[in-house]
Amino acid sequence: MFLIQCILVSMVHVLSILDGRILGQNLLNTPIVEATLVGLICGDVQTGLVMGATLQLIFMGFVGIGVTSLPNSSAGTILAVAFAIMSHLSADSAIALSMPIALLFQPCGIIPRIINNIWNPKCDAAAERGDFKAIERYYWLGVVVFAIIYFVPMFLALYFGSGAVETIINFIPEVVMNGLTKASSVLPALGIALLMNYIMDKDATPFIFLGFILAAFLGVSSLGVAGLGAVIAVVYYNMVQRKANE
Amino acid sequence: MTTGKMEKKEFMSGFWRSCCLQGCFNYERQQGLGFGYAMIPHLRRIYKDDPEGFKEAMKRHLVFYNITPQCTTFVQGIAVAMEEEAASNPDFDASSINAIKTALMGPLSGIGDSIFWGTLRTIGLGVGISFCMQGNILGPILFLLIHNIPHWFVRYKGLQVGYEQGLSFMENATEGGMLETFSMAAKMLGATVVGCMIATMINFTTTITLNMGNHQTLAIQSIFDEIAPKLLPLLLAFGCFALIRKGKKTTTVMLLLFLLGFVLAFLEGLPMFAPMV
Repeated sequence: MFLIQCILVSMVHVLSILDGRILGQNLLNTPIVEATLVGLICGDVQTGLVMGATLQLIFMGFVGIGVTSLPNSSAGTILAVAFAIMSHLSADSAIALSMPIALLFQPCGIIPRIINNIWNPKCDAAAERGDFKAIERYYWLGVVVFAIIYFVPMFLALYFGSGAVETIINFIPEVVMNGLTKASSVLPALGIALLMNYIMDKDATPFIFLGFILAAFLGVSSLGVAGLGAVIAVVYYNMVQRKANE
Repeated sequence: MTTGKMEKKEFMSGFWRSCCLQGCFNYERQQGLGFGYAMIPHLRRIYKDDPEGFKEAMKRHLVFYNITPQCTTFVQGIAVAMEEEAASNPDFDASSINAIKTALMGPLSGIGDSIFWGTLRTIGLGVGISFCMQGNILGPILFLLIHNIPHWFVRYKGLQVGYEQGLSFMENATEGGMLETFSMAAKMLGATVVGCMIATMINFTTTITLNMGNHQTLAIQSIFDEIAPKLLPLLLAFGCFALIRKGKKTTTVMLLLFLLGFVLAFLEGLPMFAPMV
């Protein structure tokens, strides 16, 4: 019974990541939803709901927009509720554990996004051959990477319990965490460079600097930059059209 | 719905695949592989008799892509319409497809993030939390409904509207013989947005501080900031771009970036480079 519960609760963690991967982002990775599901599995929905409300307020600001790597609020929520119900930890001490747990599980979000870089050149090569089936295969392997990395540590934490988790929290090698975070913050440069490679030519290059100057020096939002870019593009288009009609 | 050449079956296939946008998310291309995955049913129809065209188009849609996932179908619809033009018109500059995709990502994400994350999520949580506090199961349920009814509506309509608008625009531009001008305008807009991305999406700073003696310290970052804000991201992006143009493999560039990340993290961790408190 305990083993089955551990597996099912770990699946909630997998669901929390796969929601945004392959289900279209329905915000299932929100503490009130996760806490309710864990409560349902562990046989105490009431505790799940009430703890969910408190945990939601703690993790309110943690919105995973874009690539920013944040503490894993899903792991913090799921383990806090599971420990409170399964290990009979008091709700208060379980909630106190949730933030360090979220920090401990942060690499769950970073590591698959690094591993999944390996599919990029493989997909390019497959596209070169026109082999779309291979692209689909590599794509799904990327999904599997996410699922495994969200399942295994969660299962171990549930299986070995709150004491083991606390011990590990006191023993995070800081330089490893920092290195991963730093690398993940510079890697988007490569993706953007590839994009430049696609659309850059002599005439377009000055506009890269236009966009950069607007955003970096003047602090214009991306909506504002795109708006100005659109105005210039439309004016250019209309002018050439008028000339052609003359 | 059947508009243009997109049949119901293909529409639904593209629609479901749009949900998988982030399945192979990685730091380099972000949602790029997911977008390519969603384009496969469309490209197979468009380039049914043109294997070479299919290869080129497939490569095009594996590049860097990032958008609020709920809004991706609008871009997908436009991309399909543009691919149809590229397949039927040899004079069409296909690189404008990625220019348009790029130009749409930023503004659509700005709108999408504020609607879905900022507004609907916040309203949903306000309602949801109060029910949860009373131990009422309606809490999570109402929260999910408040976000997801608009989400699925936008996702479905986006593919239809994007495709139809894209088609009619392409038709007008072709008739006036303006496609070349359109490509140039698209590239100008795309490049502008890329410049903005460099400034906003590469989070590259350093806390390394030099100790000059006499309790004088010098933060390296402040030197860069004095020359130009976001100078490091700019140099990094152009550095990567130069390496790629020279024909270096993306894997090589990626490993270099990793090395950079770990070396910097290591240096920043050294007490001699730590900012004095």
